[in-house]
Amino acid sequence: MIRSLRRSLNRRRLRDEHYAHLFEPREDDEVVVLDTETTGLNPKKDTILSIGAVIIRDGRVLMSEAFERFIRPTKAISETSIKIHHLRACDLADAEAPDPVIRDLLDFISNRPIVGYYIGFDHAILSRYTRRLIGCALPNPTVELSSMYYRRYRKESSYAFVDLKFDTIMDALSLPQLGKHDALNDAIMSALIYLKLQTMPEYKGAYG
Amino acid sequence: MSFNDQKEFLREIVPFSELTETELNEAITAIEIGFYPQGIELITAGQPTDHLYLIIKGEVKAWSPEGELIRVYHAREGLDADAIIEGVSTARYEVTEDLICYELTATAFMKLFEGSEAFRDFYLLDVVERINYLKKRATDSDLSAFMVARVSDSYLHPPCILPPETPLVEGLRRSVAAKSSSMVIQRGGEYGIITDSDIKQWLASGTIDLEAPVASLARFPMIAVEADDFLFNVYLLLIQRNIKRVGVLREGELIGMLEQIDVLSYFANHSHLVTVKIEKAKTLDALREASLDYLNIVRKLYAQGVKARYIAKLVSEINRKVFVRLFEMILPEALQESCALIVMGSEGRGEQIIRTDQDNGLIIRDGIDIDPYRPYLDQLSETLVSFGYPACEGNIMVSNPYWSQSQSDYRQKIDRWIDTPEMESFMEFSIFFDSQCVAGDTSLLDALKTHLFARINTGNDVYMAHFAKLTTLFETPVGFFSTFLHRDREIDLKKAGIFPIVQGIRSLSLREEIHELSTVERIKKLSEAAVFDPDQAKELVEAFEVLFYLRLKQQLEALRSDATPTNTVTTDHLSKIQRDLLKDALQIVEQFKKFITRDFGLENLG
Repeated sequence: MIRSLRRSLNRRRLRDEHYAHLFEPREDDEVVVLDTETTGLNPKKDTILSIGAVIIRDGRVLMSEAFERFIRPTKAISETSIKIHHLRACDLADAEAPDPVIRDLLDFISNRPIVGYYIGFDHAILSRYTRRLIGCALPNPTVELSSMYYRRYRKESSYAFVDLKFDTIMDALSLPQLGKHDALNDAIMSALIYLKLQTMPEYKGAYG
Repeated sequence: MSFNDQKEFLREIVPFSELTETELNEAITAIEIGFYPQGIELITAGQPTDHLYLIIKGEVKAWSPEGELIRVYHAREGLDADAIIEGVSTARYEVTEDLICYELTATAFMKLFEGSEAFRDFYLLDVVERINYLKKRATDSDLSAFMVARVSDSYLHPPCILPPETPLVEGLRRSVAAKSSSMVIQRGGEYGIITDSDIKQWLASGTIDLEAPVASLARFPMIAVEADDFLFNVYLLLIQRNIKRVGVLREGELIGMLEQIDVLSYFANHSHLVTVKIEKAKTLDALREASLDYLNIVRKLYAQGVKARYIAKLVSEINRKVFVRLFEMILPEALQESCALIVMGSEGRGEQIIRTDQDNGLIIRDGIDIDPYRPYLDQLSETLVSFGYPACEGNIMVSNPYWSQSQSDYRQKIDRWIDTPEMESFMEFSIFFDSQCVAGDTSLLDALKTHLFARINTGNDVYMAHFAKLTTLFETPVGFFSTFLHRDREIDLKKAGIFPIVQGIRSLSLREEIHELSTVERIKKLSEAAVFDPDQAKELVEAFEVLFYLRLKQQLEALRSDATPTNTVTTDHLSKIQRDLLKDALQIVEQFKKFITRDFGLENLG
């Protein structure tokens, strides 16, 4: 109820009708798995440095249509972030301005649901860009991998703590690390997590 | 970025490693990542497949329509190229452990297949060629730092160059005068060749025409290399093409002929110094020092990519010289004339590269009392230990009275072995069967071998069969279609491959009365005797070489880190290429075991 209300509110804010299709419901079960690298961890202030995204169609990660773009930073990159993604300002000196990248990303995602690990963060930061660009927040529904994972793993550790660290999840699902952590690799690995979790039953509780 | 990671992954997989940058980039655009949970049928037998699956993680099993397990696929293996090429799959592929894989569309695969010769060859070559191909790569990549010798560093023979219209008889005259083993015919800017073995063949087939112009008989173009090519590559070329010589060009001009024998001696040259040192050693200490140098030679030769069996040959030559010197220095002269010092087992076959045990013994002429000489024999064994030949578990050495006995005692021993077919006697018999006299009176051993063959060949079929059955004593961990069956991380090369080949070949040699000792020589003789066909022989030699090479690699690495050399390799520590080599070799071993089982009728044996 509230969700649909918020959704129609968001729709009314859309300024560019070219993107009206983002609000259409999706007919097939395709999703986009997405990851961003940023200057820091504050979605209100920090900016995007790179975006990696892949489409999942018929149980396949479409590498041949993968999305990978880099954005020139307008503010300093925090030291903690550099340690994570190894992107320094000088690495991105020749990268693009944000607007064309975000527009292409919206075309790429279309009306597919967005899947990711702590996708709330990526969604929040991307919405800051889309609000400026097309007037509204990113309208696509999101799927949170860590909760998908939690719903399948809490049984084994009923009241205990379920470790939701990315690498822990990868290990627990015995998925391979494909190269280093960058936006596209993380998107691909997240896609594998998604595919694998989909084949596993959810835990409905002891009486469920 | 990520795309580079994908590329790196592909580059690791033969034959994608052979693609050009452009081809690889194109391949990347046609690749998706797939995930299939355990239990899914990936390819249906009798159906076409629209993808080549390259396993990133997981396991796939291939089943024949009759339900027989054909092959197990693991990471970095691709399936099923044949199904794409043939348009239909002959097997059923089932995911047996959650599968993550790259998927290359069949169309893109066929495009690579048609566009790249290296790629095509890989899928079409037969096993032997594939082994050579992989080995070439293995050596290429291991050795880059060592391949410094160039063709021009080796001795080049002056070519005997003839004008095209020269009559054959005149050409022969000139090549004999020039002491050349080949005639080179220059026609325009092109060279052709007639070799001595061509002449021999024409003579044998009666098709020789002495008046014919040489150009009409020669093979054009002659295989040639550049003067600044790496000598090592020429060595590989000679082996691959199975030729004895190549022409050497500089700026299109023939400057000389490079003979196989010279290439080999170039690589073996380092050994020369050691042998001189051994022969000149005046004290045991000097001898010991010289003999320990062998390890440096082995390292050098291995690094230069010389085949393990040639290294073995060289090492056994060195060892032989050491034995001779020790024999002369330690044993009293009176005894030297009345005995034969023999080396047995792998040392006897010339297949011991790294000193892992000493199997030796002494045959003493009848009527000589050995007891007064025992202290000298003890000294001989102890000295060998200090020279780095560890005392073997079985205590098979001259200090053990059981292995230093009179000739007639040995004769009785042989009879007893044959009359009591049980494990211990088989083992002792095997070791002795491979013996070689290194010093003293050779005829003492010759007579015993004659006796041995005579005993075997007088109705001892049952003994023979039990002896041959040892070939299948240990399991070879490989499936029907060349993949490690269980996911054995550790493979005992000796049990899985080397011993079965050695024992099987030993059994055949015993039956066919072949006197050669080295396994490769025995295989050649058996092939000549039509026990098996030349292709089978070639395959077996290649497999033996691979196993030998991998064991040597393992041993050298162990020695470098001060560990004890063993026979065990961990497949995880092997490169993809080496694992492929090993799989193919074990596959051949498995077939050979079946051959032995049939040939000796072992199915009916209790």
